[in-house]
Amino acid sequence: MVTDRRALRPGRVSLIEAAREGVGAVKTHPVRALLAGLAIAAAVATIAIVVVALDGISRFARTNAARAFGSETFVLAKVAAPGQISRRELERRLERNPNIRRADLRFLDRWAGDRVIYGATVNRRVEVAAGSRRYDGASLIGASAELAGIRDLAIERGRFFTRQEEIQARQVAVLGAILVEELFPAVDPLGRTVRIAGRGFEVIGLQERQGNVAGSSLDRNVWIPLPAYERAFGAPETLQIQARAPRLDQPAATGEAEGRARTSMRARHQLGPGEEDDFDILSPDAARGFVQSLSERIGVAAAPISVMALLAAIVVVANTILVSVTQRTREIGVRRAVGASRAQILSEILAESVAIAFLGGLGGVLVVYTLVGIANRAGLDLQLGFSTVAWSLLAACASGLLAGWFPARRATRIVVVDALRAE
Amino acid sequence: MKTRTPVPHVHWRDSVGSSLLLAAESMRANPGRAALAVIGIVIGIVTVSLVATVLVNVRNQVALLFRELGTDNVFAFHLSGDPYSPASDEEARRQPLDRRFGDVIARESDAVEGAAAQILIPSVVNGRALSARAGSAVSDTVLVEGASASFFDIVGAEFAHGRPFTDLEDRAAARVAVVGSSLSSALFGSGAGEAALGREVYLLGEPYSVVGVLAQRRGGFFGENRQDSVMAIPAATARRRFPDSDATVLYLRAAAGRLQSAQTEIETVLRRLRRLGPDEPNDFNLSTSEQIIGTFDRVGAGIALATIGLAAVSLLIGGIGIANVMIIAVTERTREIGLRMSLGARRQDVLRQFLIESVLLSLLGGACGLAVAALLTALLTLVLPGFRPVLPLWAVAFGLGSSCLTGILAGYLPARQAAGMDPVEALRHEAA
Repeated sequence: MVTDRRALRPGRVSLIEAAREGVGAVKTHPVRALLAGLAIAAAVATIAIVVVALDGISRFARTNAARAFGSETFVLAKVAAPGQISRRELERRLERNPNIRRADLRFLDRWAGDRVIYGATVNRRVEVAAGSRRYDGASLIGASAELAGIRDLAIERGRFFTRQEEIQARQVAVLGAILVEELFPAVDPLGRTVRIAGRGFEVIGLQERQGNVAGSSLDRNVWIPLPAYERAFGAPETLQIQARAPRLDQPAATGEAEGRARTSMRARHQLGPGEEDDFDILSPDAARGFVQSLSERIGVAAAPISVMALLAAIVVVANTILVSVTQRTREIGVRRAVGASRAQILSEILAESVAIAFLGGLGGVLVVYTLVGIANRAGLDLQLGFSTVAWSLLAACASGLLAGWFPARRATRIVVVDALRAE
Repeated sequence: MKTRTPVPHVHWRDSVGSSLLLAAESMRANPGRAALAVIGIVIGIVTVSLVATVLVNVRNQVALLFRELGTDNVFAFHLSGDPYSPASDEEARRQPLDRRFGDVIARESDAVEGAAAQILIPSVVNGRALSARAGSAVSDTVLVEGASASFFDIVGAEFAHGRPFTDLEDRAAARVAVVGSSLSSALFGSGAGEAALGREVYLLGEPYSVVGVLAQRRGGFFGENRQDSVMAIPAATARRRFPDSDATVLYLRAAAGRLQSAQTEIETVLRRLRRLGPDEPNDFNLSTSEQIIGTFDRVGAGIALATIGLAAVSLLIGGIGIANVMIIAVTERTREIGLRMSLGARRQDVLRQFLIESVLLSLLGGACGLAVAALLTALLTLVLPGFRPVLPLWAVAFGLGSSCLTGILAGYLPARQAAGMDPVEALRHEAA
């Protein structure tokens, strides 16, 4: 054991030295290293593509949700998101929670301070007609004028109705893109009249095309002032209230606005401390939750499959390093004989393995970068984030370490005399 | 000038045999290396075949789910898809089918033997979520539907206990119910069995007495079949208790082998019953279980392809491993190749030798991979109920075939490199 210690002492492990040796070994057998690197590249690229695709899906969903609800908007309703709670819970809430009416909205407004703006909406399916053309299946939304300040309604031409028009229950309407196409294929709709439930509404604004969210089109909407809606269809049973913080310069503004809304509503319903809310608040995060869970579920299936690819790649690299150790038995023996420590040999072999894996990982990331560029030019919206790149390279290096471990251990066990005798 | 003596013709079987021997010899010389190369392929094959098995299982279960509705039946509905969200505004305006249409069609069409109606009832009715109660037990996953007395016969439902309700009970709008196996266990306990018969189930505060309990269904989506939570009540009762729910599916059983003509005849009769003019398009949708499965397959094919593609990356990487080992072998054995060639081996012999070695490694990996996959599938069966360990024969063939192909592809370049060597240069080569 004395000889061992002496052999260990003079050769300090230098990372730079090891790295140089590692890269040198890669250079002597470029084809072999290239193929091993290719294996890692394929695996890393697969993982990165899965990550990028999942990220793309959830970002797509987020922008979609922002179009439908507004990304900073939260919803206060008797029952929000009925699909996400159990049926019994839904029944309980429907029975327990009181309806939300205009008086509640006025109360909320009084206590909003400058923290929250509220707007109410109610909707139903109607037929809209203009001249002899009619469109069945429009979604009529009675709304307060504030809504224009709460979410981006994407008014392309004209304007949304004003507070004044709302108070006077003026019969004015803002039309979605599909309605414009169907009802006014040849003429400018602004200033013309559409008929809803036997009443004439003057068209004052047009929305730009917004596409579908969760399978239903946003372009079939017709917006009219809430009082005008009530005149045509009677007061609705319950209103949905949309709200947001007026300014978003403070990071906690949305949370604060939500807190204020909750407190005001609890005061309105005279709930004592400890009593649970008898209304639902759907925050923008909760609205995104569904899509999030969907992409997580895809991830659960895709992750093990891509990890298998990495595992296969580790085996390939391990084999390559093993061959290189076997072929260099003599060389390693000589170096050990002239004083190289086990740690030096170990770090040298590991360095070779990590160098191959890192270069392979880099190649894989480059391939993904190119593919993402092509996909984006083709109209997709994908992002290869810095953290994805960092994690991919880290995974590659870790694979290199794992792959090199077994051959490196074997190299350190080479007995000097046997090695020198080896052909 | 001839430098090489003519080689006597060797039968290919002998040369393949000797190549095999050589390959086995070289594997034995470097057991660690060969083992790692094989493991790479094993990982690839295990991934691909496990993914394939899971996909096939999901698909088969879904197919079974639809076949349980009767393979000889034509389903008629006023919408083309989801009953609660019409695919278009035109569909949203369609009137539901009348449940009595079924009997008219059965009377008028030769190809239709029998008819049944099913009334779909949503899980929330008038702002109240449906739940079934019996004593203190509550099920809020109950699936309530109205059914004509003939329904159970037409879909071939199997009863564990009791009977379907009668035509008389249907006409009298009696408060009786046939319940699925899961619902029965949820309400009356899992061992209730026959004791469930005659018990009362409360739906929206009204009691229904259980006359039949259905046997557990076989198909499902990830082990779940909604029909096991069914509470079927007579169609007339459903119309009376849930006047707003009128979405009706007609089940029309075609005579043996006449599914096609049944579909045409049903279309003709339905068009007349719906008073459609000659130019008007159908305002209803006809389908069979095979057509529904076909639609599912079309939607699922893309997903399946993407998943298999993802899994195939592992196999590709395994192939790279084989290629690498072969390249190394060619370099190491340059002298040996030179010697063999100067002793009269032809280029194609050398080519064949290395190809066979490469294919042998891959096939070994393929076979081990399939064995591991079969083992894992058997384990999955223990964990997932309803999962059947079908490692389909085509998957086995595909696994072995693709690993063989991988071997050929991975071995070709190194083998050609070996075969293309100049024997003199090769002999002079120093072992690396």
